Amino acid sequence: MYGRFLYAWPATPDYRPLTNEAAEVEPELQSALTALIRLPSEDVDGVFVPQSVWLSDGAIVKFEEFRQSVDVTKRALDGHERQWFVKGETTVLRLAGTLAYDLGDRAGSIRIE
Amino acid sequence: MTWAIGLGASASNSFDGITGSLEPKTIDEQSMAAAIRLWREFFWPHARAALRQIGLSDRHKNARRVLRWLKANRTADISVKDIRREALAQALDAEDTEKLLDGLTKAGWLRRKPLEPTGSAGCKGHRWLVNPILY
Repeated sequence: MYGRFLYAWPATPDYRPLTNEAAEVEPELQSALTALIRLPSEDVDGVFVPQSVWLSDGAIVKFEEFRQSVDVTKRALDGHERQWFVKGETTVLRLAGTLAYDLGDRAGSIRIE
Repeated sequence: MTWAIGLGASASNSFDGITGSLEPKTIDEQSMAAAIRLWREFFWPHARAALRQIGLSDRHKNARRVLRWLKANRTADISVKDIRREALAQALDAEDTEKLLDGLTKAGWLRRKPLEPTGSAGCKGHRWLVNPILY
């Protein structure tokens, strides 16, 4: 499970006594999370309505290309690396959903430096 | 390596993508391409680096466990018995523990100590010196 979330393994911090001083939570982050939580999931009568969010045709093509590359690359891996790698398909699917909800047209402007 | 989303000045102050606009009915190609790129160029290299630190196999995991124990206990020299009992909680037998220590020796973390004769009864068991750089 850790492989899904952790991308660094920090050193164990030194002992620090308890304090009442806590860093403020970023208001933008708080707003974004609150908005996600408040997305409506019921109809006007308050009944839960499941929604399906499909992949567009273009997204399916991209996703299948990615799945093919995963299928080739995973054969050269083993152990934990392989276990983490093959979960890439579902991770990408969830990421794509998150980006579509969160960013819309801005999804294409991700910079990796 | 870092990643960021190129938000415009007005967009960076709000989260209209989820607060103001309608929910998307489909996941578009652009979002999928961005997700694949993010996973391939950021998540995967970072996960790989983290996994290499954690240990790719049980052998790496045990080696890491021994090194953590040595570091925490600041032990100058050790025997197979010390490591097997204290660091590994009997997870390996004596033979596999010695192989593990030989592996750590090859990696430069340990050095096998010359055997000390103890008289007519024979020699003491092997002991290893710990590289002080570990502390």
